[in-house]
Amino acid sequence: MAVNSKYMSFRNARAQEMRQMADLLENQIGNISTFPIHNAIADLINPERIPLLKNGDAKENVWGYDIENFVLPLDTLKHVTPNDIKKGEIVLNMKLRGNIENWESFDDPFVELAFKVLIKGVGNDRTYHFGFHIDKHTGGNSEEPHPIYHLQYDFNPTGSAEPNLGDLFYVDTPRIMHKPMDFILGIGFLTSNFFPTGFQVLCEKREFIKLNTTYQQSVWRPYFHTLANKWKPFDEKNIIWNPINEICPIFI
Amino acid sequence: MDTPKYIYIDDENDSSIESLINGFNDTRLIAVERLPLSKGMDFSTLKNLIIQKIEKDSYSGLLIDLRLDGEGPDSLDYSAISISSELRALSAREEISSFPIVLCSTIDKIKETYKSDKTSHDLFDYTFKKAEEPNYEKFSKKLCSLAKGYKDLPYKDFSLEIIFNRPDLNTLDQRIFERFFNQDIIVPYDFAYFAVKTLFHCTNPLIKETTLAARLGVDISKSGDSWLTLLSKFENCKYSGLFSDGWNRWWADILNIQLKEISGKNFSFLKAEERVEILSQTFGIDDLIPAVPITNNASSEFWTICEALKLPLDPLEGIKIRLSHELKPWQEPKYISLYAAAERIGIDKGIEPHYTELERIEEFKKGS
Repeated sequence: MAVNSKYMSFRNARAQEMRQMADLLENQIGNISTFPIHNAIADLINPERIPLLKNGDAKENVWGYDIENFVLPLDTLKHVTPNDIKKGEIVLNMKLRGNIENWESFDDPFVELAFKVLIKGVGNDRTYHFGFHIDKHTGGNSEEPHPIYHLQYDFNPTGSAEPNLGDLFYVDTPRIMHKPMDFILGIGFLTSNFFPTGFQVLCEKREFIKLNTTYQQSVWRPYFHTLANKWKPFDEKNIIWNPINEICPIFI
Repeated sequence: MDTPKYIYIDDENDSSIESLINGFNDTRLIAVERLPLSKGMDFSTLKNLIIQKIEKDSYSGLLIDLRLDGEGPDSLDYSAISISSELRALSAREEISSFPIVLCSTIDKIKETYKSDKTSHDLFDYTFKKAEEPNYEKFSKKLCSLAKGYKDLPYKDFSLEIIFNRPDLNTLDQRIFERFFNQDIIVPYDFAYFAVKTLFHCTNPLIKETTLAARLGVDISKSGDSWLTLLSKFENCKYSGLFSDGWNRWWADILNIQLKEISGKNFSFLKAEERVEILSQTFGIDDLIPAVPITNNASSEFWTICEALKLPLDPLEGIKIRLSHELKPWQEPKYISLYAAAERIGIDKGIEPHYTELERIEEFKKGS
């Protein structure tokens, strides 16, 4: 069954924005394979493909994509330990599902989200890994109460059966409340943290700024307005803590 | 189809040419016959002779020496590039049928002429490098596949899904095949050139056997028959489209899906030993031997190969090599290991580090 034209026009618009981001990465940063992004785009624009939800459901009004092994260079090797690491990379694997009707509303923009990051370095005689994810918690039998969107560090991000943990006490790390993160906002997040020269170059391009502004509006506005709503009423005139990018540089 | 026949054209006329022709013919996969030249034969005479062989005498392809204007006894005033260019133009205008043209030369001559003249790269389906002891079986297989593929190409009413024999091509990066979208005139050569040069000779969306072994973490030579047993478990990833009987390739994206299904993990993150452990258990294959890092390398999280040694390599430890063509945005770079770069292994085959990597190699040499 082909997805109806109203939903397809939404998906095509998102695909076009992903294409813009892929072009920016290719043209401004270079040496980055945008194949994983364009594979995701191919699915987004294909009316025969409905992204499946975790439980296997296919719903026409659900949009989304999977990005597999998207690699960015790791530029912040000055302060790393062990110091024999000369080269590193950031590998992003993500899965996003959203309800098309919720986009641009004040409701939760996503139904499912897994934004998994692996950071890898190679030293003289072994490889080293570090990882974290930004997920949407969707039920399950966990004893610990979780913020719905959270960032959590992962000490065995490769899923190794016998990870080398050294002196590390391997426990579930805190799920730190975090804003939701799609691919487009994710590029700002990853480059600002691990590839600052790339982030600077991107910030000089108006297309990058425009994409970020649009997605912050769609993805972060409902999240932060909902949080701010906890302390109502508030008077806009009282908001004096600015500029906002001093609070966080990726609020562009 | 009977054994495909190739015309062979060379300005040399000595025993080495004789043994080259016999080398091909002994395989019985193709039949190669020399088209006798006479010194100074003019352009249109040779062109008409070739056309007659192709159109009337049921020859399937042309194997042509690069420097027809060399120092051989039958030397001509023009090279393979000009005659091939004319033949391609005639095929494109459909005045003659399309057929494979395979370049044949020594590596030195190719370096000297062909590499400096990039405009001629598009003319030939394949380059056969004359060497001391060529693997005639391997090359004949490719030439046979080219001949048969050209004959079978349903280019009039083409469908990419049929030509490349994959119904879900639209799930892949659309830039790969976009050159065929909305084109009024496409000749068989376009598909042939694309298949060989863009798909087979590059990494992604197809990968070759050594790269497949690297991704599976397996040492091919030490695993013996177990490697072949393991290969048979990945038949659904095998490329089965145009020229697949001449080139063994696998779809990288389908492989990734299969590996995720098998392991529930991201295979590229695992060490070779862990990958082999999972594969051995899943398929019940004994004697699979994990590959180990090349000298001076530390990582066994392999995903590519060292092109000089043809051994598994983690791209993060690789040295990018210079390519004769610009890398398309969906293609993965090719690499050599630091060891091969420092020891200058592969230089004789034209495998050289990319200029951006030279500093790294020097640093490594100083440090080691």
